[in-house]
Amino acid sequence: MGSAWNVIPQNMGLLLDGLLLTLQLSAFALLVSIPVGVLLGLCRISGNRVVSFLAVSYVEFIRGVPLLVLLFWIYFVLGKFLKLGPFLSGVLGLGLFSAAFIAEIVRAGIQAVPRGQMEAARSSGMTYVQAMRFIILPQALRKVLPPMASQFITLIKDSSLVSVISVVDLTLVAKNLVSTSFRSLEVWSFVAIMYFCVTFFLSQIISALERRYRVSE
Amino acid sequence: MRKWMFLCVALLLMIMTGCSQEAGTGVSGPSTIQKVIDKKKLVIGTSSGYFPFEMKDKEGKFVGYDMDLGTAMANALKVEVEFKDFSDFGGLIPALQTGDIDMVISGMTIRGDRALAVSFSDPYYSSGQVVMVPKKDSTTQSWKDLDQPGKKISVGQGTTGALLAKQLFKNAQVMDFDGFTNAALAVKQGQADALIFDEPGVRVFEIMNADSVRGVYEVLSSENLGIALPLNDQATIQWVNSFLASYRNGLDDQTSTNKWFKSNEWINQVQQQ
Repeated sequence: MGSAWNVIPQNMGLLLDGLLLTLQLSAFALLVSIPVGVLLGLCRISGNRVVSFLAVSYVEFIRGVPLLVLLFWIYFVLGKFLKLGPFLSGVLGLGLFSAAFIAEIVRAGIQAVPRGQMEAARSSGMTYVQAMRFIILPQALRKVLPPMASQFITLIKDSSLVSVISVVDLTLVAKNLVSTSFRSLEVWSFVAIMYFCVTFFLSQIISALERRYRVSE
Repeated sequence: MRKWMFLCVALLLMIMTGCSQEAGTGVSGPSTIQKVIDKKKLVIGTSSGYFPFEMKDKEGKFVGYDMDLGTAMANALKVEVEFKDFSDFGGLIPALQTGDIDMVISGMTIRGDRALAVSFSDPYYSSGQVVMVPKKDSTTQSWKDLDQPGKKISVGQGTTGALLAKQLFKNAQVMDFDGFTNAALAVKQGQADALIFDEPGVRVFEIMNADSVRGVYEVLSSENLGIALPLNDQATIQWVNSFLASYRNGLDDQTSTNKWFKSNEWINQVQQQ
């Protein structure tokens, strides 16, 4: 059978292609989930009952459905009519899923800013939007960084699920490699390390950001 | 703190490298068949959803041609049988290598690359790969008609059809799905232009979805299905082959063949797609 770890350098190109796709998928999903999540979070605390009810419903529904089911649903049900294709279905599924969790993080962050801050801003003549933008959100940002970091890392890890709808991400490359080489231990160990390197690098960036914001406090 | 972390990762790597040297070597100690007799239980790995070899009925129980074979084997050994379901067909051989299951009966094609990782019994069934297309595609007569840029070919990840499709199609795009059911669903729903899969599976899927798909029965390969056993476990290989020699074409086998391949009555008993 030869040296078992040979399977890694021999298929390095394939594995790197898979990693690249995982990174692209996660990046696009982030681009979807951050604006949607922030908007949802703001709607959640809105004074308008209808708006906040809609946001709550969305968050509760998405949180109550497994991502795998959501992906199958988007690809096989929604994708049938919209002709989304695997990659876009994956981006949309991951993005909308992550948005629900980001919404909760944003809501908690804003609510953690003392109520007096808003009252002070309003009484100094600012509008609600101005007060949000210049007083509340900058303070909330600092509080939401650590939970956001774990959410981003979760997103990258969750992206491995898209392999079931034929997106050739790192996990599908690994599955295919195992099914032709049968070196499951070597392939999965290496892939685990690849995922770890990406998420570790990301968490280092976010800790650096946290340190920077702490200085300005 | 960071130093400690790297130390831990390095240690983990060393443990993994150490483990890998044991994997893939021959069996030592008692044979698998002896272990099965001792623990009074035969654990068979399978991947449900491959009609009519392995399916689940409405109560969630395994039924099908492979289940009849596995059950007959357990009866001959006078032990209990347990079927373990792997949704990922590609996970079956690794599970056999780690000893998680005693054997694989899952419509598995006997193939050279697999035979380096596991040992195969004599063949118990012969089939081949065919193409399945959506019903509205009335022109496709051969796989060659599908090999055009922009065409999408769905396959079950880790199956022989997947390997064959990647060799055959130079222009069309091959899409790996999680198992036959999802790959077939992609054709049914119009997300893929064709599926490459084993003939019996395609025939049954066509019967169940006659209004949406059509089989193109140009056989692309000739294949023998075998039982995968731990590598070089001679006692087990010999026992299984002796069993198959008496089972094949015997009364139980004939009953099973008539039930699953010559009649469609069982379709209402299994989970609907």
